[in-house]
Amino acid sequence: MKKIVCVAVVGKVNDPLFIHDYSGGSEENRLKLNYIVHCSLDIIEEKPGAKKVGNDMYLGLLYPTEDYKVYGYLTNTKIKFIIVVMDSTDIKDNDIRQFFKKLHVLYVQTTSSTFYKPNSKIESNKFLNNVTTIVQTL
Amino acid sequence: MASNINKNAVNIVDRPLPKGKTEINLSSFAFLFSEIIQYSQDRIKAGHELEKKLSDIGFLVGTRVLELLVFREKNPKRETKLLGILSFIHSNVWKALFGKQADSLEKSTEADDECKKTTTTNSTYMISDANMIVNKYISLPKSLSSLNCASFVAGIVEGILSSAEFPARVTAHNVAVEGKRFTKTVILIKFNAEALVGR
Repeated sequence: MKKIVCVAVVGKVNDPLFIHDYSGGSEENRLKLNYIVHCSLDIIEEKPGAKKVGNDMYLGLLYPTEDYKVYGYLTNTKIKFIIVVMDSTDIKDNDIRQFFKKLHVLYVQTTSSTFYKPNSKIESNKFLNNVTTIVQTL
Repeated sequence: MASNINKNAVNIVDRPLPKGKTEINLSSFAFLFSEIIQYSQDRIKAGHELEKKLSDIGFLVGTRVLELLVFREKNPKRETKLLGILSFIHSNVWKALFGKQADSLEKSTEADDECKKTTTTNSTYMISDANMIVNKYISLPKSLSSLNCASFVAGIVEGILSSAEFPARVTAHNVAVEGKRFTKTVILIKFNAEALVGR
């Protein structure tokens, strides 16, 4: 069973750069996931500077919903990574941390491309494929 | 003896990858950089636009360099302090780009008139370097003596600062040093007012 149902990369001014649904569900479900990711942005706004988080990029669990848990990560350049995970699965904090680290590598690789315009939508197929691979390994 | 050999003989595919050289030939770099300058020179109308053009190219480099270098740090963290990001540029970025630290990082002591008018606190910093690698093989004609091709580097610094949310205006200048034949390069960083709020 897949643990991650949605991966999103959100830009500086809260514009979605990349969002992909891994639940394989209906259109309605996809909208729901979009909504969950959207909600989490408010929480990300508050998190940094809090004692527990400090300057760490990994923000930890943002909030749980009925079926899912949402985790966040904020980079130096105010790019946010958000993942939505099935609540029923038992998942370790460290694994999530590792996953974000891998996602960050992929993101850095993508932005380092000369043909990628910074802060624009990520349309690279390679990025999508690589993210799909790491989603399956978690 | 035999067991000793076995211990040391690790299969070649299991050995860690050698770090490898992270440097490239100075001549190849100088060649590429001169091409960049020629490219920019062909696409400008007036002389002073050249610095702007070079800085624009550097800006794009800077945004990428920040992402990459922060990630390569041992304990990556979000830099929120002005001095933190400046010393990061002064040491880490300079080391990665030019193989050494910049010569000095100072806060400008000259409270020039413009500064007094706009902000109450002085927000100008300088990074100086006596032998800027980009300027190594560049000699300027008399008509362009105020030009400094380190504008490219200034652009990189500006790119880094702006993507780390410290908007600033960055320029490169030639400064004569007493008793030296060659001028040193000073990268002047003027932070915008919003970068200083709450700091």
